Amino acid sequence: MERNEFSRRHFVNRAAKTFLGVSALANLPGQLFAAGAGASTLKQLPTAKQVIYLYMSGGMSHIDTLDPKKPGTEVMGPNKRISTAVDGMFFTDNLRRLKQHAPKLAVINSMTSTQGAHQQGNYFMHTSYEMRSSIKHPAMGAWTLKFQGKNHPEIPANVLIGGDSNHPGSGFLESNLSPVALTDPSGGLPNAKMRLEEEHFNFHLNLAKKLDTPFIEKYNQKNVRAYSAMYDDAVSLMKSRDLKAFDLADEPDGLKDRYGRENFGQGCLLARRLVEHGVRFVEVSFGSWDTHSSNFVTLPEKADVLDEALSALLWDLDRRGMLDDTLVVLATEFGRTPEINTNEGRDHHPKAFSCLLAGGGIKRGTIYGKTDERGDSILENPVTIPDLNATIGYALGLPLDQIVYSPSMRPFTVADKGKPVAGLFG
Amino acid sequence: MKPLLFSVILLTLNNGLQAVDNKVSPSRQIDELVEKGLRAQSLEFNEPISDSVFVRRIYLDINGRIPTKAETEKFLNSEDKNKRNNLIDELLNSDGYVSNFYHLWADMLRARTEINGTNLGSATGRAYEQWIKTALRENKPYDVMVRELLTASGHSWENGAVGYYIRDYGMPLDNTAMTAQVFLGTQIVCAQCHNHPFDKWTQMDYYHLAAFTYGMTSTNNLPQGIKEVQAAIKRFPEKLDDQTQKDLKRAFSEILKPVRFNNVTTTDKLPQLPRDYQYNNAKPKSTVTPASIMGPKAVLSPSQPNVESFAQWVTSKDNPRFTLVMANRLWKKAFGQGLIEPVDDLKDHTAASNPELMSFLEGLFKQNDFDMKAYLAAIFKSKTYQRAVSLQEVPIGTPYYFPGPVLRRMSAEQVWDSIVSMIRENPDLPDEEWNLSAREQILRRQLIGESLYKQDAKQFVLNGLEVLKVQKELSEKIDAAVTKLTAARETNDLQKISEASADVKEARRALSDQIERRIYLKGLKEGIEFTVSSAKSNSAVTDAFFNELVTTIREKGNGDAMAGMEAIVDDEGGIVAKLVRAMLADERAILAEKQLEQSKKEMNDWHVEKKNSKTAFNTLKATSARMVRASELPSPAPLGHFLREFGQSDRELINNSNNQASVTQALTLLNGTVPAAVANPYSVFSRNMKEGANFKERLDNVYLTMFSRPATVEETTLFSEAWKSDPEGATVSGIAWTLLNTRQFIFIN
Repeated sequence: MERNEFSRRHFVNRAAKTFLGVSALANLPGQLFAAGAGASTLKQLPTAKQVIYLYMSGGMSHIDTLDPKKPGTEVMGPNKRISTAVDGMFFTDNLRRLKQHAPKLAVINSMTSTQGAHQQGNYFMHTSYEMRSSIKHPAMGAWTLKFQGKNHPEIPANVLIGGDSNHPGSGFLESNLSPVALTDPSGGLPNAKMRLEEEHFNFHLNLAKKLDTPFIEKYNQKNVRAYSAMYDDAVSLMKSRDLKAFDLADEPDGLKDRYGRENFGQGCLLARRLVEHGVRFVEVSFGSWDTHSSNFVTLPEKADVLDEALSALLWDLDRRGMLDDTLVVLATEFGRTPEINTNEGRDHHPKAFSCLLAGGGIKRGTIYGKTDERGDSILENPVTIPDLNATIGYALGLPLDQIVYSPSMRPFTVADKGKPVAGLFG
Repeated sequence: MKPLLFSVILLTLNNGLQAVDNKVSPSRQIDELVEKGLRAQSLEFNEPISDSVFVRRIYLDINGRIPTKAETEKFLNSEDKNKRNNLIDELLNSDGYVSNFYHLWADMLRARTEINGTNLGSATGRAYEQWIKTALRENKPYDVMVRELLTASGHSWENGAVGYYIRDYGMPLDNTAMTAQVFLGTQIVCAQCHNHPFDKWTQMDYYHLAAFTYGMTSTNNLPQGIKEVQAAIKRFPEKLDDQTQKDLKRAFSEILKPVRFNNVTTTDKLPQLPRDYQYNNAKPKSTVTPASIMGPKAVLSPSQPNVESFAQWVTSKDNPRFTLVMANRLWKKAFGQGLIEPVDDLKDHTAASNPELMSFLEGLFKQNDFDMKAYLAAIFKSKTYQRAVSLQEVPIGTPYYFPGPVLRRMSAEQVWDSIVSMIRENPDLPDEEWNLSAREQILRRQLIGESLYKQDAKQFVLNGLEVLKVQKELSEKIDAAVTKLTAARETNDLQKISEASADVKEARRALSDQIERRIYLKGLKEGIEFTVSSAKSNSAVTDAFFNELVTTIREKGNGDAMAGMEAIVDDEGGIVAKLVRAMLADERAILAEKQLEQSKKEMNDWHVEKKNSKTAFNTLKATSARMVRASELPSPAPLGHFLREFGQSDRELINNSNNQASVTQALTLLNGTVPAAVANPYSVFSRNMKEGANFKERLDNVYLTMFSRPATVEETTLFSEAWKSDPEGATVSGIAWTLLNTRQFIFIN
């Protein structure tokens, strides 16, 4: 309790320092702490205010990244193992830059999934539920907004950078909780910039309003009104000072280089900008880790991009004091086999793999769970996918046991009864 | 909902249904029953609508887009007393009907271009789409369509309906839930894991129902049969060691990969209850046999697969929900609201807002043997449909008595297709590029399938060994690349790193090229030889596919098939793409010629001469290539696409489209590329506008294009006053932008 009291005060302070806009600040306590209040015994005071969720699509090999085995063993292939400042935390030399940040991290080497196919695995990781053709479950971003609302009145609160069409989005929840999708992080928010000169824009919009008046008065219906409100919101978004959150042009070139110039690196930089401006949930997707063949050639390339971007992100968040209330998650659908196949590749391995958390109240310099000497099975502290999502939800203060009914009246909860991993907090 | 028991109503009527009086048109009978329902609630019909409102609404409802100015004027100027009915008939027989109603089906069936989320399924996705469109074009009766879907088996290239099972690949239990929801309007999915909490279905019911189609395996299996192949491995002259046998499996999957998700086999395989089955009417893991769950029982017969019995039971006129659900769904399509809401969650006590009308509609649909166009015609020709929309919305859960349709926002597809019709001529003509790309996709799988499926099990093992050999050869290359890479990384030599990775990609490509060359090509050649020799001996064997292939390669080889084949595949790289290209070369050439002629004609007609004009014309052509009907774009459109922003279904869930407002919609219309495309000097919109001799005529032309009526006095005044204050605003793009951003445009009144 004491800790919670402390972190709450600490948190509000922090929020006051980093938050933008007076009106948003005014409703912060109500928005944040009322979420799920009285509804849940599992509720807790949030340690994280926003999430940057990095999704490694295709199944990132754990052995080649976060869970290396003894040097020279067969499963390691040509990888080298490097040690870090944290006792017992090792990476492969594919993550040389990340080594500096080990003391900020919590690495989970005991992730386990039941889904061995990409689409199903990806869906499970995003929603905590197995894929069914009869229902679509919400991803964590939508759950977060469902309980905590928007953090900023004008700009979108849930953003997906570089994701694909299969993202579960808001699932059965309201469609406006879906992430706004950006394919090109450098392109800003699509269509948010005025194409017309402002004078003409206002002139035409005003004319459109006048022309529409008889129609709007005649059909005073909910959806017609929603469309009028939508135009007002769009215009205030376009004119919002914080629209610049979506614009990487304001970031110095040196910093852009530091994150890496690939889409993923720039996506991570944009994610930092977005959470800084009050966006609650940003997912940056990066594929394709499906290294069935020539794993030792393709994986290092991927890992290099990840290493550069993630290291820059952690450094950047930390120096801005944002790592305390921003939870960074590195997730993937499954790991890859210790066995190296005839195509010098690794196949799908849902049984054991690794994810990473940092910031947002997660205990720094933590290594959690363990696999055997080949990286094949889990030896201790298995973490299921619902557990991982429950941990994210716990950090955000979401009411994990609050039942939400789908329109078909089926009951669901955030993270499907997963248990937050207590050992990761403190 | 009123607590009227539906079954009670049924009992009171002859044959269980409201009688259809053959002397009075069904449309008049609909009107009478609606009127009766309204009177009972002391309600009145809305006003009848003008021809302008009618023409815009009926085009949107049947054709899926607003009418063009020419179509509107033709209708408005006609003095034929029967012109509304004639237009309804004409539209139901148009390509627009197929395009628009395709979305109804794609939303119901969750039809996706990449049918199971991977591009491996895209040939099946395209074949499925074509199957649906063809069925709609031919007006295949609804029950026949559903029977064909439920019993679909074979290869994607023979029977596109196999998409029905491949869509739920690996999820046969879920597929059952889909079937029940879509065709029987019954949600049993909860019962997959436990007895239904809000309905009467038990988990056992669920498994009984699932048992009918559980054996419809959308298989990846070896076409020769796993057992035969395993036996062939055992019989192999040189004994194959364990590692080789293991590697062989991988080699087989490498060979079969391109035809994965393209086959469905009918079996009578039965499901087992789950391990944790908790009820005492059966033991966990016991096998469950098929049994129907409502209405007259399905009859199993040893002479036909279970799935046939199932399809007959589902689609029977005696099934209590089959007809009802579609009769209501199509009614909703016209009125924006069902007599029963929601349309696919019926329970025993569910009642329609107007039970007599519902009962009549069900009887009507049965009487005309599930002829969907005839049924829709009866609805659209009713006076009820041709009345003003209601001013007030219908709150969820309250019955609506249909004084007229409800006000609807256009669906994403209707908004998109309406904009398409403002840009390009003949917006309903099927897009030949799109169709040709489907042919390419499907032909590609077929070539591979045909090359494999005629070989025996032993040949198949030999193929596997051949692939292993190739893999071994290539693995040396990959090893070398890895060594190179490791060295390069020591020195952080970026140049070398990218070289090494290129080497690997090359090796990967080489593997698939070699499989095409050594396995598929060999199989195809055998088929060709067989075809050529049977043609010589005048034997009766004909195989449409090989005949077509032989014709193509003969032409190329000046009469000599094999010489033609060699010329097409030459001696490097893959062979499949080359053969596909050769087989479709003529069609491609004809299409290219046609497009060129069309462009020439347009440039001539529209006097495109100056440099600026040519630039604008080319822009229009480039835009038009993207702006085709929504039914001829990938389904669903990618995230961020206009269609998705406006609520197109992701086709993950049944009927998952929405018409809710979102900020990104406004942004798309305010700042996106659409207004500029509409205002292109050669768009239909601009050319219509320019026909006007003066400001008033030009404005009327715009209004006729977008709203099927001339501008009102008030509107004209608003525009002219606005432009007095800002003459620069009076541009084509200014007008297009303004009107695209009105509610009037995207709502259907």
